Amino acid sequence: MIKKRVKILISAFTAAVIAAGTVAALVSADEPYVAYDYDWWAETYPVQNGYIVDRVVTGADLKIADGLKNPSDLFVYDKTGEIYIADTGNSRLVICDSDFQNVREMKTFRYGEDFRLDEQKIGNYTSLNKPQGVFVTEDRNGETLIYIADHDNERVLACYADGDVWMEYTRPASNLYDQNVTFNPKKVIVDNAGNVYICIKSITRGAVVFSENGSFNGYYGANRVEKTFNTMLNYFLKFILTREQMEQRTRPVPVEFSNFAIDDDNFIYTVTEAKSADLDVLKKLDPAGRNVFAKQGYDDMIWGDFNSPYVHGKSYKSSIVGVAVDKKGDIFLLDATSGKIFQYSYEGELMFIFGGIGEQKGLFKTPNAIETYNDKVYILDGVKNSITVYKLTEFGMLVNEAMGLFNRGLYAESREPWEEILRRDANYYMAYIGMGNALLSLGEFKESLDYFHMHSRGGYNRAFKDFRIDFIRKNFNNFLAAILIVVVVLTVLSKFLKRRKRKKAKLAAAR
Amino acid sequence: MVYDINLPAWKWPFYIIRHPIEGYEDLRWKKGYNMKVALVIVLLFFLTAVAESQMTGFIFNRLQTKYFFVVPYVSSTIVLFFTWVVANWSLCTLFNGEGTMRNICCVSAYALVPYLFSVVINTVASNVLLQTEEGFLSFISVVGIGWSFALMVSGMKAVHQYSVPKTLIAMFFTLAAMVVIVFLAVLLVVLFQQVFVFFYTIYTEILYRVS
Repeated sequence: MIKKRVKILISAFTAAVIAAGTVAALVSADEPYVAYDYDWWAETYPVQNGYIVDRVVTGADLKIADGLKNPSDLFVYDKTGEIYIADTGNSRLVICDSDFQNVREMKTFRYGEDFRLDEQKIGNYTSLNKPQGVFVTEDRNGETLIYIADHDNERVLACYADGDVWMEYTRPASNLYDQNVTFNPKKVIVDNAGNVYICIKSITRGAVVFSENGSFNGYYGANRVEKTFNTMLNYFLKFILTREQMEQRTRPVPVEFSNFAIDDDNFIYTVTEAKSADLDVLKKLDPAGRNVFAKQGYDDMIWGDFNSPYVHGKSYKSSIVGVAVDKKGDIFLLDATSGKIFQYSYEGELMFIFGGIGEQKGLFKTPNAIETYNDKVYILDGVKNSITVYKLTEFGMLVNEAMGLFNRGLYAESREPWEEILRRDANYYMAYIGMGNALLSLGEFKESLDYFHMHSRGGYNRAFKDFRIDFIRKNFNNFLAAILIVVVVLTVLSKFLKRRKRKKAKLAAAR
Repeated sequence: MVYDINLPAWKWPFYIIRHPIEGYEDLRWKKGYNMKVALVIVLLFFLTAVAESQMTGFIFNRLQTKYFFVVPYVSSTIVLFFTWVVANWSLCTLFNGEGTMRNICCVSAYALVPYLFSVVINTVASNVLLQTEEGFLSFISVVGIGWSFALMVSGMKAVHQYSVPKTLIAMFFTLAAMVVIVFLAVLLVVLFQQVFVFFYTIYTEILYRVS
């Protein structure tokens, strides 16, 4: 009897343990990557996941002939949510709606009646050859315009949604453009004024800019030249060598940027893929071409991973191949080395790191394009021929909510979400800065200082300024009293001492 | 030498601060060198270095490390100081310097006092100042370092009875000698390590053979 009871107890206990185990397994997020963040000393520590995999769509899932073959660019049109894929290997454009339904392709294009460059061509057909970039916007009449960087045909094709070409941007005949340099458009973006920016790998002077009517406007937003030993040597040699001798030396050129994106306010974000580049890895350019992110504080900001290990002759430094900007101004960077996505706020504060290299869902082989739409992040993998969609976790939503309030300057209102975030993950770095700002605007200076400490020097400085003024104001009477007392005591004491000295001197004299 | 002074040992550093030109000559004349005072100053040198790294306000503190480790502070204060003393003595004995090791130690330690004051003032002030007021801190530290340097020159000049140019040259070569000393010390440590490894290998080899 007893034995049986024990047996039942044991089996019940085992069942309970197994059940608890399964529940635990269900509760813990099963992502194949570890989310982490950087602390004050730029060392990593794990944090909660901000994004998890929503779905992975391969070329086969799209139910289109030939699927996808080495696609290299992805664009989500904000207005309709349509997804445009530059299917490079199949030399076509694949278009579907935001649920990856209603898939269609664009392969041949007809020169429409609006094509003004060459009247002879109107009515002719043309096809793509390894397109590498796609951009969609609307014209003044609200009609959808598609721009395709037709890489091997050396042109950018601009057409309407029905496939009627109305403009072609080809190698400019201008003297400003070196005719020995190829014109292989990699990426293309268009601003609100209709100016077309084309990213070309062989050009280090920036993006090639065309106006809407096809005339060449020059270059835009080149990277800075890195300070290397050679540039410094050139600087000194300039004083010694003649002009002819100087021309013999190699001229330092900046590293070309490899991809870009444009936000609703016409700020252009460029990223530099080359691992040799430490400067201008991400630029946020205003319309005049100035980098908003250049030299904030003491040094340039570091984008991507902070540490760049060098193992077995291979550099694992971040190589940022893609950039996307969402409606709130958050910046998403795609790192091809580690397969990770870095989310930054519009001021460049790190929010989340997710993704990785591997075979599982949510990991990549060669990620090469990133887009964001409706708080979802779309990553295109050129070898897996798939699109991975990430969605926010509950924690990620909280952080986005708090950051949204924070960015709009509603610090006091953002206190509750930040507190909730810290309850869920006491390690989350931005929450401390957010709480510091919230408490500072609520006038709780002392607590604000505690939150800013070891998290934000600028924030601490602001809080301390208010704290100091507040402290002096509150204790002004005490200060005054203290000063008064000290002065009185000192005068009395000095008089007393003088008198004693005089007496002593008199005594000595009398002796 | 101007007037008759009799000071207790601990007051000499303060007297020298106030009389940078003649102070050390007076010290030499009165034989006011005191090793105890000098060693206390060196100890304070170490303590202020630690305090500076740990207690400077967050706004200005660029020295704070994640984990506190005392060895760098010892080597950048106490070891550095005695390397300076040894190097200076070794060099100046060869070049007609009159200072003994003890005297050089005292003179160098006394010269540190203005620097120590500047560090203490800066450490305290950094807790009440803002980023925009950083100028005050750099002003104080420049004054402190400059004053200490002037005292060091004056002290070296007095203790060895050199002319000013010779003092400066001697100080420069003292720095070179310090580098040589550090190099030799590192070499020695590495060699001894190798010797140790050699004997340890023999020991383990014997252990294997025996068992």
